[in-house]
Amino acid sequence: MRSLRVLSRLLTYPEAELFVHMDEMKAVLTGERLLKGRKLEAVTGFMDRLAATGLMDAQETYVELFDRGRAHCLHLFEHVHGESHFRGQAMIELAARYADKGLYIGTAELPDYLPLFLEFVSICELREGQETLGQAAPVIATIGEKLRRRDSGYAVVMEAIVALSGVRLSRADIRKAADAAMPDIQTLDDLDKEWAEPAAFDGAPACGTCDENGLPALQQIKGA
Amino acid sequence: MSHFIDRLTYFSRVEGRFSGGHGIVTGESRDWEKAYRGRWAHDKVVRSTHGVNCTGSCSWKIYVKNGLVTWETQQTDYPRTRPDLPNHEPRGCSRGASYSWYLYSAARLKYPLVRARLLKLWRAARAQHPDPVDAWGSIVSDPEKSNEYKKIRGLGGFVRASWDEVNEITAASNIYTTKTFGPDRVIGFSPIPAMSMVSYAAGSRYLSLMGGVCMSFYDWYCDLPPASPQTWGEQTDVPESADWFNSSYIIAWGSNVPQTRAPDAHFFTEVRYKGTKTVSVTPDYAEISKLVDIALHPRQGTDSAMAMAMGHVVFKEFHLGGKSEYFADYCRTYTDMPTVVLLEQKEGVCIPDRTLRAADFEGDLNTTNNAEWKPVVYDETSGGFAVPDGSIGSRWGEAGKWNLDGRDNASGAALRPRLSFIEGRDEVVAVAFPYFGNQPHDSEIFAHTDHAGIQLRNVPVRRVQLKGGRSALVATVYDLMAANYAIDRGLGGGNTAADYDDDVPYTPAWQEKITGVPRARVIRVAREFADNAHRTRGRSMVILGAAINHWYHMDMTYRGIINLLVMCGCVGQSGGGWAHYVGQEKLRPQTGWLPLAFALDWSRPPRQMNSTSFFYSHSSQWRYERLRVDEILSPLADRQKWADHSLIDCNVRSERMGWLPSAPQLHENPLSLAAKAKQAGRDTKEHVVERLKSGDLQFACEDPDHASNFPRNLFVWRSNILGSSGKGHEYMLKHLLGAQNAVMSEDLAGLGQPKPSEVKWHDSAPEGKLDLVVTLDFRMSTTAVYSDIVLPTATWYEKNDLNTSDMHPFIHPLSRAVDPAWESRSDWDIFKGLAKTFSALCVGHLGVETDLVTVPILHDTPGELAQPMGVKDWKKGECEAVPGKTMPNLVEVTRDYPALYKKFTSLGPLLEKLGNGGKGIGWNTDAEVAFLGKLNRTVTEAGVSHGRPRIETDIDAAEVVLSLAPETNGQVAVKAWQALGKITGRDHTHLARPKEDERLRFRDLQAQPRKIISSPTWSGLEDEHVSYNAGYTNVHERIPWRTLTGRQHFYQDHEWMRDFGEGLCVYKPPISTRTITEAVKRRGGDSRQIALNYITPHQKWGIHSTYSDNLLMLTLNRGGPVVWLSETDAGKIGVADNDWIELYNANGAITARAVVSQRVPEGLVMMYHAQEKTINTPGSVITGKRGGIHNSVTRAVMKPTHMIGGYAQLAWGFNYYGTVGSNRDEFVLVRRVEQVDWLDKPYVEGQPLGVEAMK
Repeated sequence: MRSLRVLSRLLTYPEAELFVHMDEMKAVLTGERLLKGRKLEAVTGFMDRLAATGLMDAQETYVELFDRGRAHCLHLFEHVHGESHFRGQAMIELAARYADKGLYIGTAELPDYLPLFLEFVSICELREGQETLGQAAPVIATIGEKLRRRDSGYAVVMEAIVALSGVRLSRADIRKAADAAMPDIQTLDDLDKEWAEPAAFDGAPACGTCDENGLPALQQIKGA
Repeated sequence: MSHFIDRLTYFSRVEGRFSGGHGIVTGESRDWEKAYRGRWAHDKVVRSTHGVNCTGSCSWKIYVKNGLVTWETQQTDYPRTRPDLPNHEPRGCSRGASYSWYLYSAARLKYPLVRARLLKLWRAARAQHPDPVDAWGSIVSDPEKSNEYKKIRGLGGFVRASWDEVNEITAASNIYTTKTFGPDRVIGFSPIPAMSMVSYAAGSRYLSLMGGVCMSFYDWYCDLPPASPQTWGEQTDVPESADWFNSSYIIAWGSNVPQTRAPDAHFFTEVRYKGTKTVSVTPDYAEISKLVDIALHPRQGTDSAMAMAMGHVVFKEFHLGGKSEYFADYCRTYTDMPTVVLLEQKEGVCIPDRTLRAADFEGDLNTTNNAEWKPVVYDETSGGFAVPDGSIGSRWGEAGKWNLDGRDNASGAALRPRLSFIEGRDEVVAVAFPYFGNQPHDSEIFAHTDHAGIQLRNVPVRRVQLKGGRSALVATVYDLMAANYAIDRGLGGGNTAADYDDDVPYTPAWQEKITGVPRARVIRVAREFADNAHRTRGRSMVILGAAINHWYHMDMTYRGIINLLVMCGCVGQSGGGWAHYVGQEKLRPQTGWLPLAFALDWSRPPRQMNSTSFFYSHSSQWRYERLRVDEILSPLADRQKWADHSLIDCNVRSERMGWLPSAPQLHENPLSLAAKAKQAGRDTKEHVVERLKSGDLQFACEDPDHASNFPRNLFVWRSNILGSSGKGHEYMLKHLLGAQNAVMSEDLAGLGQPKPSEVKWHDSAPEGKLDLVVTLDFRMSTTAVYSDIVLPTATWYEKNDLNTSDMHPFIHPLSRAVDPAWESRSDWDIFKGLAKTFSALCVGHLGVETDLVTVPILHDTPGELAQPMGVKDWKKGECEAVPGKTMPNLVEVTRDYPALYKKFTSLGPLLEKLGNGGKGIGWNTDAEVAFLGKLNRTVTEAGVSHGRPRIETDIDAAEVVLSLAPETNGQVAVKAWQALGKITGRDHTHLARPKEDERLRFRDLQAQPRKIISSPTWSGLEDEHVSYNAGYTNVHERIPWRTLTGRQHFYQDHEWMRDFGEGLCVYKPPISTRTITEAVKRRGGDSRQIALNYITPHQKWGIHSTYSDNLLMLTLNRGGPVVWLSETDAGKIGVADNDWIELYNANGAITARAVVSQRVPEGLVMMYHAQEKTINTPGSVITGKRGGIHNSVTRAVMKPTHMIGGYAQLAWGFNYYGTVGSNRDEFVLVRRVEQVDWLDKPYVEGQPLGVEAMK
């Protein structure tokens, strides 16, 4: 899934190199044809707009969106575990999956960083990759929704990733998840509910709020 | 079928159910166990702690798995205490436990960030100028260019940059500034080194080698109680929390122990099981109230009235009443009570003057050394005036006489100083005492009484013959105190009280009107407190804190309380004394750390500055001053003398007379002064003095708004100076940063106030003085948001460092459990990298230069004997200008700029040449330097550092601290005690001998927290038999306090102290800050608004003032900024709990949610300290800007008595004495916000920076 490799590059902090390779990346997308029609156009349109932006303006936008605050944080577990102690263990398990494929993280990044995760999926077989990606799709879709609400062009990249996963998510669910990420808590009961922890030993999987693969289910995404 | 074969011999069948159906056997998968078994698995456990200023200093286990931190738990391996004393653990609180989240949080700073507009300018400039220093110059010398990035400070717009690039920009800026304006225009702010002393030292070492300025913090935070240096000559020294357990009567006075001292609070609860009585004193229903037997609630800011009334009771019953021989003996030996004071006769009344000195007598009472610095007592044994050993005069230039053995300084005979002249008096005269409690306050919540401003009370006196045939009346401090407390002694005259119910200041009845506390309760607590101290020989204790120190007249509250403790013989006794816990001020291995931190191994003296005066001056807060000096003068002072003085004028005079430091120092680049002298063929020092006298050269403080005198570069590390600790936040934004701000006040011109007489006035104030602001942090704090360059630092689990606290005797490591995440680096590595770039880039701009450093007269040096008899200003022709005596010392320092990096990374030769030491004691440290050469190995590269011990890594740096300090190296401890013994004439080495061969290494600390070794740097003992308690060695080893008399001072005899009516402790009401004018009220329109007194205590859901912006704590504290107010006040303005409210005055505005609570008394709002404006803070309707932070409505107001210097204990020291940033006398208007505007639209070019000013 070289298309994912392209999307990974697009979500990486923009450097001059990215702009140089814009056409080449487009060629991969159109050549591989995993993304089609409006989704493809949306991404290439975004790439055109990005290419037309000054490098430093693009960087400023990136820092504002992704380097500060939780809302669009590209570290997936930020949206699943927040400051829970489950987060460390979840990262370890994810890194173990990379290790199973003979990969280790060669840069100073965490295992749940989305561009890194996409690069991993891009190496996998199509079906396995889609399945892996599908597990993260709810989180990615939610980030995408929040980006869309800020009128950010990056939203289409998130939507493209979800499309590549092959998972079909309902728009309503995504909107609900994005709303939940900025909860409008009115009562103490709401607050308790928001912060309720799952029972430790009721047969729950390893990381408390994830599915058996260590990745989150849509309804468990929380925090703004 | 045989049963024999059928039956199973070895097996039983598994039954489905057993135990009568209570048990059931199942066989499903047990995979779920992996969940918790895996959860607690780990590769290693590393010891670290949190480098926060909460004084906790708690040991934590950090669990690491696959290179990631998975969780942390409290460590429980502290060394045991002893039988009958609870152990220290478990330490650590839930707030600390929330820290591991920061490592991987979205809020973590991951990459070096630069303001994009600056980076664009920089890259364009670099394309034109191959030399980075020239490139920087081309930007900042062009106002249009520099304004381009300054005006959007605080409005986002960051991009990532490489370390190489940010180092280049920063170093180029530092070099350009040093070369063009002077190194003293490069400043750095980092607080509380004890939290992480190597990280602090990294920045301060870099700055000190450059000649840059390190800024104080303790005074600026207003955590420094100036009453401590005034009374004891010590910054603050307090008992460890375990010593609470030795007390039998504890008053928690303005200290909310269970909320702000969580890991130590157990001692407070445990000691109650022994029967210890506990009392709390707070204006609100604070959490401490639940742990006490008696809760007293004086009106906020009036505590000193209650303390004075308690003093009245104690002095009357126990001293005058003769109830306690112990108190009398203690006060005779360890206090200035028997010291004799001259009385000045003026218009028929007597006014207490300075203390009588040996030099006043013909023949100097036979003393030969420093007679002007030897206060006099009256000796009962010989029946004459005498000079006791131990005063400051015998500390310097005289071996073996500085002790409290009570011998005559001339003859060596044993003395018995007389406390009172009531017997054997020559006369009884009326002595005038100032009374301030009659001043009406702008707000009626602060009540006043109608007693006269001058209170005449009869005092027994003696007449004494002095030099030149002069005769004078004298009284003892004891007799003056009795009169000051207004106790009737049967001497006739008025204004004294025979009964507690008399309405005379300072009776229990009198205080009732001011504090609201019933008199019977005050009498009872005072009596119980003293009676307990009498029976237990001093085991009464007061735990006190910032809450009562942050008022303008904090000294009166503190001295009122300290008087109680000293009168009752509690100071220096186990389980007794004052326990001031504010800020983690205690850097235990201090003398090991100082050379590392201020590069004293390479050059001395370093440049240091008191921050309050600095920020007052350079953020132009003085331009808005509404408090006049005549409002705070004593009714007994000569008003003419002070007529043309404003507060900033007092500070300028102070700097000029060598009292307080200066930064920037002089009007010209200090690197140019030696050259100019050389050109004139003159000695530099003489030349500079001459030019200053002629007016050809000025102090920078005389014209702070001149572009030559701007601070240009600011480093901030380990701090949130613009967020949690920036008093006058909006003024800083406006003048220092040139950023958007909400200053609504008119300046002096607009207010129609007189202009300062010593400072040049510019009609238009500069905005954006700072060219570059660099902040190092692990999170995007409010300060980081306003910076030009933000550097990501390693967190507390990613670096090696040291941490100590005043609350317990252990020294802790911070350990690198994992590598710094993303691009972050430790502070040590960041400044080391910067030093390297600086050294490379400076070539061609800076070489070996001569820097002229102005140094104020310093405490704990012989220089502190500078101005014994009165205040004289050379600029006014009242005395000669003598550096180090009547003006700052002028010291030439050679700086080898290209060698800065080599010096940074090695231990310099001055340690062998000049030795090491502190607090007036010095020792040879050759052996330790040689040892460090072996331990850290020596530098092999050629250059200045060749052959010197290396300091490459943070662990190398930690080893330097541990090896050089007596607290962590027993051999040094013995040397230090020996050195002190030479001065005192007593052998103190027995205090360290048992631990002489103990040497702590960094790895030892990682194995287990280690108890430090007793050293003369501190006044308590780290001992197996007593808990650490301040003043212990003064009392038990008879080492004098580092004061004028060598004793604890009730009386402050400096001229300025007397002029401001603080010779003896008095009650002073809160000042009127006048920030709520009619114009401010008009801004509120027709909405219902109410004026309330505004205070900023420490919060429950935050790590002290370090951080509160994680979701766990925010959730527990309503998710954003909150302000507490009473139900009554809320009702008056129609505010319900959780409504958005706005707080505003001339200084600025705040928007927050209301917490309406019965906890809060009427007339008060509380906004917890350090809530970031980066979190859920909407716009203010009043200003149209973001709703500010707790300091948006404050402005620093300085106090002249804190500017005194050159006078024994009232001589300056870094974080020891100086002006403090008080902020609790402030008032705000409060109203409900109807429509919340989040201001979440991007900045549009041309938006106004400020708010229109108003009268």
